[in-house]
Amino acid sequence: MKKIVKVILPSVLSLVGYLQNAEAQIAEEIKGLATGEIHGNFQADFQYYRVDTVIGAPIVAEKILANGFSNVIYTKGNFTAGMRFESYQNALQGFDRRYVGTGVPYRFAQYKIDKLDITVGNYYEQFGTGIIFRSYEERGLGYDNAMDGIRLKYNPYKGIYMKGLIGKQRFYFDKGEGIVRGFDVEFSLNEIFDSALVNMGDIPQVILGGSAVSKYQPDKDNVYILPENVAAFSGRSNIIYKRFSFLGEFAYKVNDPSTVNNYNYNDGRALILTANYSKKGFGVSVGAKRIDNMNFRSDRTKSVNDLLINYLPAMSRQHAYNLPSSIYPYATQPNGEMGSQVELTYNAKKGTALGGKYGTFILVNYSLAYGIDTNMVNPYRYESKFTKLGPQYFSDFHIEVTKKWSKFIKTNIMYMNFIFDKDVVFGLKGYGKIYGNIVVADVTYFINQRNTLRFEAEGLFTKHDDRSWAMGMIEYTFSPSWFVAIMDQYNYDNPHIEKRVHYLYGTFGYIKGGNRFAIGYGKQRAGIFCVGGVCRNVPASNGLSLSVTSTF
Amino acid sequence: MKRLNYLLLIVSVLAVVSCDIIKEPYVENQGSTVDTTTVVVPGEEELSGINDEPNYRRVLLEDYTGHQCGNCPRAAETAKSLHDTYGDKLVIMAIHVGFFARTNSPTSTKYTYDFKTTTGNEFDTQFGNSAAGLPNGMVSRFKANNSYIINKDSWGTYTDSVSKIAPKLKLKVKTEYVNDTRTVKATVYAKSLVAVDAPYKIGVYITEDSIVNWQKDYSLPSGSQDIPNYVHMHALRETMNGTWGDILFSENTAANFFTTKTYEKALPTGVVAKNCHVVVYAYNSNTYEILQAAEAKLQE
Repeated sequence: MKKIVKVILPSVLSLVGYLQNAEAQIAEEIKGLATGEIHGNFQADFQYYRVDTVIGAPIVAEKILANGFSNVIYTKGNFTAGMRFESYQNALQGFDRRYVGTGVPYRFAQYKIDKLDITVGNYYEQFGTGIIFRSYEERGLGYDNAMDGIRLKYNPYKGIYMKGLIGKQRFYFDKGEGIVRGFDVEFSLNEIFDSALVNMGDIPQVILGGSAVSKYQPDKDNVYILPENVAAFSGRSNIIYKRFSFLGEFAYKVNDPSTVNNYNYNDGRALILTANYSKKGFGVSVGAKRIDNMNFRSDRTKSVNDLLINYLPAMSRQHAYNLPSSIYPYATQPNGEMGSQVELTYNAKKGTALGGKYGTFILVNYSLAYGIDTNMVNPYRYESKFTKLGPQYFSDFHIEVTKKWSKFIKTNIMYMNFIFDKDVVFGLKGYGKIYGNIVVADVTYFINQRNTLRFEAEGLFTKHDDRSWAMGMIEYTFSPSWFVAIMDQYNYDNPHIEKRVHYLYGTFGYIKGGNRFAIGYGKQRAGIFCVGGVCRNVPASNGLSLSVTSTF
Repeated sequence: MKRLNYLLLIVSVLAVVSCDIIKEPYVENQGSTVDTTTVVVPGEEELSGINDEPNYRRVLLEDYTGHQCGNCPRAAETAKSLHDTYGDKLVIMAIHVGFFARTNSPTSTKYTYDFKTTTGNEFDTQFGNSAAGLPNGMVSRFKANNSYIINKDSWGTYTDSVSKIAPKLKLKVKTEYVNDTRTVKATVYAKSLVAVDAPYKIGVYITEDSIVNWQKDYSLPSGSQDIPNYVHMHALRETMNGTWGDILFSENTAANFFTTKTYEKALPTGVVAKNCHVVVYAYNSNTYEILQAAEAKLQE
């Protein structure tokens, strides 16, 4: 008896132990199956406006304006669903006031099954470079042309990717009138023929793609006979071989008379070509584009930033520094432009004469934009020679040198020369071409691992328009928790003496975990832009602003 | 935690500081209104001629504009061509708002005339016209795709569709002007054609034509965009009963209900009486939609 107990009991006990373990494991697995994950983010901006007649800050009836939004996304296995709340009480200055009240302008459900990806509700999408279709958001600018409908993505065979979509676009808290439908297919040849190519050594990677997009909007106009269905087609190819890469896309759009092109019945064409070469320490990038009558919106009567279906990419450096990016920013002209860009980067190694002790990085960039040649044959059509240049709209030549001098000091210096046709780019008249130079000096002093002090000085020198500007900023960062900065922009030789104002602005920010708080106080410059015969003014402002962002 | 307290303090200071402290007078100077809704003089309805008013809905076209807005003359041309097409069916008000209606300093030679009005600014704050970019307009404050704001290329389309909607009331205005005192008197006659489904309010305004002054026009060659003697038409100058007006018919008023309202207001200085019209419109105070409009010259 004792023997049996001695043998059986421990084995029974260990069996029980094993079963208990197994039960715990199964419980864990079931728990895992039952729960998904919730993520999201939140941002709110509040601003208090003071009247300031010197800078032309208008009276804001509400005194305090606020924008806020929050995304909440739930993911579980192959299923994702989410929504975005937006609240404008009322919208900040510079935003369209049709962003008003609280709503859920974005909601979707997405499910992947057997190589088919289905999305219902709102979605963002891009075909190729975006020249015939790009739906995206830029919340800080109040830009959002989200689609609302159905999107299908299918990968029938390795290397073949198909996308189909249909829906209406977001128009503030409603939808645009037009219905947009699109189809895109991309062939990654190396993936498709991978078994045939496996022993061929170093061969180029080739991707070919094509898309078709069309929109429907009823013709309720009693003056013109308007096309209710407007289609656009594009073909693209992307080739990568050793150190070279090449991307080209050509798009064609049928007649699309609209407010922006003055009810012109020409076809639209766009061609984008870019090529890159890079090796260690040296890179070259070249690009050229030609845009002819490519304003494409799901409502032909809209302008400014409303209901755009496509996105015409910029072919010039998007500057991050203050004066180069905000005083004369170039914007692609949808009615017609020809542009090109060349960029060279060189990384001088440590120890070389140019490189110094820590290395030096040099960037040279030159970009140009011209109008296209147009000859009106009748009030509704024009002829345009493909290679003939129209008037010059813009040019930007700059050299930027980044150098680390010691363990503590790093500098970035830039010199830029520009030509900017303010009449064409801003849609105004009477300003003509602005010729000028910009100099930027950015010095960072790393006090120790946590404390950083940065000085920035910029100057924009021109004899035209409002003439020259000077800008200075000091920023202190205590990593990773907080930062404080003070900036001044001064239009020191404006021809009107009363406009020589200091735009002084101070910010203080605090970051903790996923939360970020920032307070700013001071004056902000005005801005103006026009698209399609409608001009918008972002007014100057003076006051206190508070921004809260959080990610979870 | 301490840092958060400081932040909260700043936000609460913001809240306190953002308030308007009103000093006397406390009541808006609207001019006198003699409301005769309850006592209708016998025979007044026939005398008013309201029943002879045409049985269509007049459309109010509001053209939001500015003298420094170079694209705005195109919108004024569209308004004029619609006026030629629709005649009596269309009433126009040009409202100068925002950055492009700003005036230069008094010592400047151009754009010193102030076309802006308190009423226009209040419409702009409510409907967001200057923020959406000028020129733009509203057609009887009809909402298209949830937006009141309509691009000039669609004004014709919406004028056409709105004017075809069966009218809910008839509206007529008679004006009188006393030269010596520069007093404007307006008598408004209104008659409901169907039962009233929401509180209807009435707005009474004075507009002025033929104001000759500067206007920017981008269609002209470079260097000559400033027109010194542009003829500004239909400019809103003053309200006779407040920006948002006063009650005309309360909700559930029966059909065929007739009422009269009279208003009096001094014509602002500098406004030329013989170029003026009194514009009147009745609107659904819940939706802002303008249900009927009427207009009469100030001096025949």
